[in-house]
Amino acid sequence: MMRRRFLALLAVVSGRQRELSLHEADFYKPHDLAG
Amino acid sequence: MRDVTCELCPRYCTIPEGGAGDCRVRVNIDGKLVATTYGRPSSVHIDPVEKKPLYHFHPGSAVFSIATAGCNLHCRNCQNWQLSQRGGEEMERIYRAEPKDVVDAALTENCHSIAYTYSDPIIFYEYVYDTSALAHDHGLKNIFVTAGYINEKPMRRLCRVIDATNIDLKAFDDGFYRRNCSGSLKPVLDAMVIAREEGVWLEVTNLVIPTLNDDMATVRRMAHWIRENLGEETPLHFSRFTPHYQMRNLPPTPVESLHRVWNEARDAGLKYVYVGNIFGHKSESTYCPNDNTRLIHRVGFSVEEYNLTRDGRCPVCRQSVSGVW
Repeated sequence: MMRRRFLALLAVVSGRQRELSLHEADFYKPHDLAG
Repeated sequence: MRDVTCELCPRYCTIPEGGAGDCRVRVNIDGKLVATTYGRPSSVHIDPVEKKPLYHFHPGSAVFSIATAGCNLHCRNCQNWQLSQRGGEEMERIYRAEPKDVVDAALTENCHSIAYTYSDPIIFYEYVYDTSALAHDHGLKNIFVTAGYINEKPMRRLCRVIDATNIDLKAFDDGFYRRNCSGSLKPVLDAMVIAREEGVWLEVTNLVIPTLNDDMATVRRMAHWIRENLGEETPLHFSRFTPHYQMRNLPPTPVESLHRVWNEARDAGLKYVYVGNIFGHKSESTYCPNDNTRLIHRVGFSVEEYNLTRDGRCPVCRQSVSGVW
């Protein structure tokens, strides 16, 4: 019962809304453009 | 084409455009590294803090616990492999829960803390960091349950917002990490030392797997290393192995093996050594290291009796017990 209650606070991503986050990560190094 | 190198963990994955790192969830999109599971947990539960396990951090409190898909280790015995060995897009269920949603839900459910757990939260680092910072603003604590396979710089930064961590030391044997986890030992030891240096409450777990990491000489070296590098008051949890994933060929850890490693760690000078995954075992409880008074009686994940004083001392001999009470 408790589980159902708190899970209702969060939206389930489904169908076309399943796309993942585009949040930029920390701690990475882009390389120089190469041919 | 623009590659990126992820510097979060010791793998240093170089990721081509459109590709993902070894963890499956950190993806190069147009030359930018993206944390694809930010705000997209696939596992959400309320657990007792004893389940993490943390025995010296607000015993008996409720913890709002989240995890996303992915992991930067690939342990053959993983008990959460359906979560950890998948990318976010492979999960049957994904929640949309921005940091504010997680904090709101934790507060609504009267939780004391938020735990980042189940898979390895290292791989959803940015989500952990932002949620933790917001949680602190609302009086919640943060718990990081991890295998500790992370680089120094992100670990130190994370320690600013984490209150307690349980680090899974899988074996005191680099060969074990390479053969069974696709990892290595040293970064894990470094992460534990960093947590201690940065003032994060630390407990260590070691899953005892028959024939693979239950050699007494290795256990002795591990216990001595913990005492010398993390302190004799660091709680150590020996946990019972049960067969999972790609390691179904081994039996559950015999109880006698757990008794042996427990004795070895106590003989090495560690004050708080526990046995886990054996319901009702005597060594689930906390005893005074001075006069052996039972201070916290646990059965499974439940606290049945709590006898510590408000300032964390034995009520009989006034011995101070390390922890966050």
